[in-house]
Amino acid sequence: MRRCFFPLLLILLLIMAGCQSREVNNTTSIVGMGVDWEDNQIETSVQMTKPVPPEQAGQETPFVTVSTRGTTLSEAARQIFLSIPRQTIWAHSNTMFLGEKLAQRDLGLVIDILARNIDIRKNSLLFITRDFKTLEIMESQTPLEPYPCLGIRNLLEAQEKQVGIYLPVRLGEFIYRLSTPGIDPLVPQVTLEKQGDKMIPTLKGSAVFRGRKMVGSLNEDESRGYRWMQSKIIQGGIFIIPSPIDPQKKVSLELIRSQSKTKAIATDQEIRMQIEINAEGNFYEQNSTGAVLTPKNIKIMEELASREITRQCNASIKQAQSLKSDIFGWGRQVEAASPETWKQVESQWNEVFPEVKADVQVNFFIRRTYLTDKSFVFR
Amino acid sequence: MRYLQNRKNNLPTNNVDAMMSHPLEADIETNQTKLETLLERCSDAVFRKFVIGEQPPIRCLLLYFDGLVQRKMLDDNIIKSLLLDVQMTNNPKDELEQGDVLTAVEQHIINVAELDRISTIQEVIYHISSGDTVLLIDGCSQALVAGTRGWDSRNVNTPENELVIYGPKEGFIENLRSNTALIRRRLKSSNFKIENLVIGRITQTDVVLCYIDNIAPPQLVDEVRKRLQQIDIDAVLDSNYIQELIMDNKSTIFSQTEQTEKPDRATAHLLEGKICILVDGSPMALVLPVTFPRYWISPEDYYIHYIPASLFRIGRFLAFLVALTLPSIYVAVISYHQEMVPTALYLTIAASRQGVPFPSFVEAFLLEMTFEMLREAGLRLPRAVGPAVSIVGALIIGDAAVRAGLVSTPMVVIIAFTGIASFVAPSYNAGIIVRTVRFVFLAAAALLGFLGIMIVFIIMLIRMASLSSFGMPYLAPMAPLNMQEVTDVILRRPWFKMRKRPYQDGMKNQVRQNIDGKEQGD
Repeated sequence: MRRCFFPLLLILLLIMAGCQSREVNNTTSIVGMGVDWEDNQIETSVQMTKPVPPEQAGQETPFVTVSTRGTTLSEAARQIFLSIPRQTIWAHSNTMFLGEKLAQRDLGLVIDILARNIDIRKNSLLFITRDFKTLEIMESQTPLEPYPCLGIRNLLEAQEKQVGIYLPVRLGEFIYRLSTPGIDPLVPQVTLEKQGDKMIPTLKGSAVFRGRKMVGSLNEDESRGYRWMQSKIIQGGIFIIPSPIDPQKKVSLELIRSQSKTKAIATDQEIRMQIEINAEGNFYEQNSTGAVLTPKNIKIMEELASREITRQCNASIKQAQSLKSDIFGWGRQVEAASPETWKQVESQWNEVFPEVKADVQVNFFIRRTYLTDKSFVFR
Repeated sequence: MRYLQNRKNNLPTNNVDAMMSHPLEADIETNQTKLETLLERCSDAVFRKFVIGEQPPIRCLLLYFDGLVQRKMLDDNIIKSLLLDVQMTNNPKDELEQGDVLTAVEQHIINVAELDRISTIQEVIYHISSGDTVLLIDGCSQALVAGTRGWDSRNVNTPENELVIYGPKEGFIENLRSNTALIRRRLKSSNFKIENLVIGRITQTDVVLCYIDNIAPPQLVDEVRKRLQQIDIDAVLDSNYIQELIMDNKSTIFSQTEQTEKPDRATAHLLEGKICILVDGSPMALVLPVTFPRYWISPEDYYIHYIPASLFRIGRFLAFLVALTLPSIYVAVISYHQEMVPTALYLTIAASRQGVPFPSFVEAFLLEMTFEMLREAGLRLPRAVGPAVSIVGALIIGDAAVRAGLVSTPMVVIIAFTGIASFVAPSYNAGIIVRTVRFVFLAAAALLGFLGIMIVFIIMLIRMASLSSFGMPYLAPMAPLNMQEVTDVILRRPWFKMRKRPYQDGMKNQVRQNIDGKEQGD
């Protein structure tokens, strides 16, 4: 008895081990997930990889997108197993699409399981679809990327550095904003645009939420304005100002880094936000042909850039206020600056927010001018 | 049965055993009879009878084993002297005729460097078996032993298993005396001691215990000597016999001595207060006590610049981890923790595993076994067939198995990488330990994933920490931690910073280098 005790223990360990092994052959990996509202039911779409041996690669699409419906998200998601013969691995699913229809209706329908479920990564990048169903977006073809979900994800991350319009939003942050008073979510939107004879995914606008409902969108300009007002440092992006020597021509500036400080000043009469943006950039391009890079002109360009940034910020603020959605988190600022005021206004913050005045103060500084420090002057 | 019993009774075993311990007698006939009885049916024993002197003639008997002696030396320095030279000179002739024959022969006639007196039959047998020549003289109860050892043996050559690029390239051989000479040449000090012991009831193997007297801790030397003396075994054919018999913890895979073929490595260890045991007939020297981290130190590290040497050492420790755990980590990742790998890599693995019929553990196990078999076959196969086998192994197993869909490509890469990494250890012993323990890791990974790997790793560490090598903790200097020495284990400390020898219990003389005349030491 004593002799077989240890082997017995080992065998028990085998049988009773908590986690089962999932051989790769019997599994499929999910790379992206979408939730939409269709025919009064929740429609989930799941994109999974179709492992193709390297020799056969390129002959067919390497993914399968399956769409199922149910009254709850989990019910819909479990329907997948009626048609998919493999275990699903959710660990690699890091992109999530929410349908525009669902967002406009009520996110309360799905947000509980999105926050609760262990399989759903809280650092998934979140997108709201625009004019299209999630399934249509997920089945489209991204140039260069085999998996549309990963492609759209990379699209967002690449544009943030290069163009600087939309800020990536992760599911965890989205849930935080959704559940915290005094701050509302803003999520990039993705749509399909015709290029040649193909419909390819494109980022277009940002969805503005009031509470758990989507109430409207910011356009490109307004999204840029929102991005400037981040308290975290933002890096990268291009924006255009009029040329100081010829108002018809333009000058492009590249952002190196920018940070903003928002401060709430609450008095009895009104609530005022002071927004101070400190940005630093490079002179990138001019399409005029004059000597634009003189100390005087640089000063003028800095001023013009500040004005442009201020204009974008104000556009963003105006749109958000017209939608009564505090995407900037000013409510949190008010609470931090003056808790008593916040207590008074918290219950009707959506009504108070449009009345809040904002002073945007921008300091832009041109750091360098790349390879040429003089301009082409043609005779 | 009856036949056997009869035979047993007839055999004069008791008689022979008794005869062994008899002293030599003055009468040469009696001695000769006894020796002839003992050496009957030994066709290589040579009894050469002759007479020296004239007045009176003295009968002599020369005894040796053919093939173990240098015949020319025997002819020129012993027989010729006794038969001819003694007639030509007067002085010894007179002494022969008048005085003590044995003394005369010993002091004036035989011209051999190594000459000794013995007085029992047992000693006679031992010495002739060792290649000495024994001279029995009528009327003397003692015999003379002349050191005439000389047999065919390998020349000192490059070691076959411990190859280095820099540094000395000599290796030990099967001849004990050559081996001690190789070390003695490097240690020109009277403090370098070589103690002789004879172990093995039948083989009577010479085993020597080498150490530097004022560096090696005396109690360690006593302990090792005691353990060696306690060995009672019929045969010692290789130093590994000794190793297994004197280890602190015998029932463990983690061996506590180091085997080396290189005299410079043995010398370096001796200078750090270690003890070196050489066994006649074995080209492997045993070094003890040795701790596990030191298995990853190559003597070459000290012959090249310390910065690249440190880099190589870090690489070697990484290779240790790779060789130990890479297949198990891979198996754990693809059967339990798919979230651990980047998505792109996961997709590649998933694609390459399509159609592979076995679970990843079986796949890994099969490939590991194949690798071990190839390695083993490569050792055994005659040289002419060796390359053929490696080609078959590499091509058939590696390529065709993947194409046939039996194994996946990443697994082949993993196993090949692991196989290479397991040969990085400078000590072959360490490689064996790693390759054995790896299978345990693999099984644990298949059962419990990373949890299993962690469990086995912890069990392994606990086991290793509980071991000791001749009183030295097996993981020293890492556990117990000695910061000063760790810098010379994970990295290679430059020589100009090498102030002290590695600490050992009971070591009095630790100063290695007299920097600025601050410390005195030998």
